[in-house]
Amino acid sequence: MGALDRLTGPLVAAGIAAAIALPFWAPSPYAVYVAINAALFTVAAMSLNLVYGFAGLLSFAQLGFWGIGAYVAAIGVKDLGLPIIPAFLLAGAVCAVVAAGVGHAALRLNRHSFVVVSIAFTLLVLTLARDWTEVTRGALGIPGLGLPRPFGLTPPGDSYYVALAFSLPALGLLLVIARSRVGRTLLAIRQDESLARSHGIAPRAYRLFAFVVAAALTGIAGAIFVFHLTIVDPLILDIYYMQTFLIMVILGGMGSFWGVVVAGILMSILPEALRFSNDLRMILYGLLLILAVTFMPYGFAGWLKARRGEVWRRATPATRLPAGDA
Amino acid sequence: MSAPLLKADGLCKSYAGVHAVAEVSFSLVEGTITAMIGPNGSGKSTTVDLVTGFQAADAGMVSLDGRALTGLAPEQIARSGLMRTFQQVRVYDTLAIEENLLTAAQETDGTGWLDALLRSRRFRAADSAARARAAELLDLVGLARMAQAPAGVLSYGQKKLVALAGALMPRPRLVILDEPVAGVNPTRVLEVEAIIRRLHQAGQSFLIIEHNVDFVMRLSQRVIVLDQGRKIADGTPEEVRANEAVLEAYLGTEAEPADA
Ligand SMILES: Nc1ncnc2c1ncn2[C@@H]1O[C@H](COP(=O)(O)OP(=O)(O)OP(=O)(O)O)[C@@H](O)[C@H]1O
Ligand SMILES: [Mg+2]
Repeated sequence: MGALDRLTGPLVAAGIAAAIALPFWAPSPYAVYVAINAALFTVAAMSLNLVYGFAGLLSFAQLGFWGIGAYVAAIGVKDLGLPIIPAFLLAGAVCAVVAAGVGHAALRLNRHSFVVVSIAFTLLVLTLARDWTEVTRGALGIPGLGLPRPFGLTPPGDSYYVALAFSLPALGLLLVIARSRVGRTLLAIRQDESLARSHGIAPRAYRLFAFVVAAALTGIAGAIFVFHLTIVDPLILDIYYMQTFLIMVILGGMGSFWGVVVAGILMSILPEALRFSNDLRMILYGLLLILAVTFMPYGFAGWLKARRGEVWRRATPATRLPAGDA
Repeated sequence: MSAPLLKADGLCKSYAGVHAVAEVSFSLVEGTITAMIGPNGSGKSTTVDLVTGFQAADAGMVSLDGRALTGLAPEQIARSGLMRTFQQVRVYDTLAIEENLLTAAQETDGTGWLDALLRSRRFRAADSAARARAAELLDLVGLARMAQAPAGVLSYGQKKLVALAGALMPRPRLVILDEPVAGVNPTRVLEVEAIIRRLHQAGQSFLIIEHNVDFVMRLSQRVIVLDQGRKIADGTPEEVRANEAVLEAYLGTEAEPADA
């Protein structure tokens, strides 16, 4: 792991360079299309990681925010006549405000009730998307969306750069949070809330922060995603997306940053490369989730970390340390 | 005498008719080690929870330095200078031992979230001061070499030391230890005793809950005894040893104070 730590800087620099140059080395426009998904899904997965992996809240509300962001941006552009970037920012702001309200109430509950409320919230968003037809246009959705084409590249090259221009700073922000004292505090709260409180930490404030940041970023990711698809309809709230984000977090390792980035990219590419149908994908994802939770409950990164712990255990004979076991 | 460091007045707590804590009052003097002993289930841990806000009292008042703590959340009480450890040892398993200690002091170091996210000058100053304090405490408890190891790899007794060091991190007014040597190897008990003695010499005030009566009698200037939720004795170790009610309480539960 020490070697891997030292390699992180160069690896990340190389990864960013490769990502920026991607439209020029990608084998096909289809590969660029997959890369757009990877960029946006990874942000949504990392946002879920902040809420679930760090703050310990299994939140199905992420899917709701993905949808709210998508609809707000579409309505902003189509009905309110906003330029596209203000529409995306509005999407993030609306998600943040809704998350603050929902979180303020739901974070008073215990973790299990929170899961239930987060599901109910997303179902409510889905109902609005389907039935509030004056605003959302129901099942027909809002077509005619599109991302700007500043460079006039072969499609979807320009869309890719829009996605990247959001995803890289968003992941940067999430990295800063994860590596900061705030990230450490979230992990501490997830592990032992009572201990954290005995240390003067107010769990609800930290969790609300994670919930609001994750909602805003997921909302903007959802917005860019539907502008890339060119249409938003209730399918944006399909459980498939939630399952995808969740599997990325679990395989990558709850509470791990780079693990989830790698899982986000791989889990966007693999199913496409293997040309799975959507149904087959749902089944395989379900199986993978069960296998991962059974055999690698802390993901790949967690497995690496456990090995590092083993090294410490072997390196320090208990007899040489004070206050051994009874 | 000046105002007591901690004052508990008429604390009561019942669970479905069981009086876990009944009318318990005591006050602690700054700079002393006070022990609280009593048979299993006599209400010691519940009293700690009532004082530190982890459970709400049915009745009674608590104050620290004359300021009322009643009704405050546990985190607010911790920030006001009253730290505690738990009977069932608690550490953050995946965090490094040093991080365990830093986390224990972060909320009162004068820096906010924005400082922490932006690593402001103020944050860096507070952070290096906290690291120095952590190094000092890890040295004291003999875990300095392990500072970067995840706390999960430690033995039970070592985790208790990390929890103790954590409670001391913010230089609290008072530390309450709920059974700091329960389940700890007898040869190591003396080391814990020496650690507490050194901290006490440096002016730290303690309330120590223990079953190990010898340990407590050696360390403390004052002993409070609970039995079935009630305070039955309160005095110097010598007074308490000679107290009829105390002997009876311990004999009644088949545990003698001499070697419990
Ligand atoms: N959450 C609870 N629900 C019901 N009864 C409880 C609860 N917590 C404690 N009790 C009861 O309250 C009484 C006091 O318990 P407490 O844990 O305070 O005792 P203690 O003196 O700390 O004991 P020990 O030495 O075993 O730690 C016991 O009879 C216990 O069974
Ligand atoms: Mg107890």
